[in-house]
Amino acid sequence: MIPIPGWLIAFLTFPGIIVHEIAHRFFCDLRNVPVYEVSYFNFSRTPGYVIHGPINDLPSAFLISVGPLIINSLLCVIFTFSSFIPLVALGLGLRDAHWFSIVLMWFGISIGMHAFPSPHDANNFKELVKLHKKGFLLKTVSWIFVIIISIAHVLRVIWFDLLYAIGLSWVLPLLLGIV
Amino acid sequence: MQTEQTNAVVTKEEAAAQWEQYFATRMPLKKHSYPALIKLFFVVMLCLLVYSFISVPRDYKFAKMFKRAGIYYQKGDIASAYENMAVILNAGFYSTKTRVLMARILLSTEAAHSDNDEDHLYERALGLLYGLQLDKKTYDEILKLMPPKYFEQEKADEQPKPAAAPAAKGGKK
Repeated sequence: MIPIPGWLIAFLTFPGIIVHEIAHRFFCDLRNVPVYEVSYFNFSRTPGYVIHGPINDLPSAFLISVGPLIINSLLCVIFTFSSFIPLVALGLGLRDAHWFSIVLMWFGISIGMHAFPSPHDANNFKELVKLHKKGFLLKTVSWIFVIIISIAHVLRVIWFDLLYAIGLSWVLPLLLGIV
Repeated sequence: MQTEQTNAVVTKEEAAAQWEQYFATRMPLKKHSYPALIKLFFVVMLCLLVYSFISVPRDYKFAKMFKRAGIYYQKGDIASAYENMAVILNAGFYSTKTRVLMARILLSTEAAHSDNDEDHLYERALGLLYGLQLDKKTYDEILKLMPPKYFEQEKADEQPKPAAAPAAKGGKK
């Protein structure tokens, strides 16, 4: 297996990183959590980040952490669907499909690949649940959330994020019965 | 809060104090304000979305027709399968998948197997298959549909052709 540098993957899928940070920023603004600094994309070890103020309530913490999962997943499904039809359902493939369909598919897959929040995002939510001394059920849900996000993060070495994005591209076609 | 990683080991209290100082010395960004490049990114995303919404109804119709054609073919309703595939190919969807299915449909007709093939269905099927790289399973399935004249032609092509008679010397006077 040839290791591919992280910066190269980030560069090739930069739309996903930008949308991921926009999603964080959007929910911060929506929930009146102050944002102090945003990097939508850069070539460092952290290709994108949002520095925001403390979050005081759990719904805000959840939305801000999970925002990219919702928005990136939705946009991935929408963008890949229109290119799925000529590329996969009608079998044109990369050789015969219109270049625009290929661009759409790349855009959608890139966005889907960066849907999962980072373990840092998940931990922030978990810490807030601990701080609020919430009940057993919410604590359990937050722990499960953290575990799922952490596993997804670790599985990125076997391209789980790419498989997730490809899986998302099949959702609408399967639901609508065109494959 | 996302932070850049450092090598220094910092306690929770020290980190909290650093963050407090950070927040005290900075103004938060204006809500819903984005840099010009990100706005441009939004515009590009919007254009792609608009294109998606325009192309989906048309392409979705063809995808459903292709699926229907496959089902008609499996059920033996060759006429309906042909009708659907003709529309798809006329729309320009010339992929291996669509060409193979149409070739199968054409080769499943009686006309393709008869000597009185007025619509040249057999030749059209061969034309669709020309130049395609097929997997063994698909190749074998198509071979089973071929009429006897295909194998006769193959045999004839394999026979060595007799050498041409040499030209007579001298011309007419």
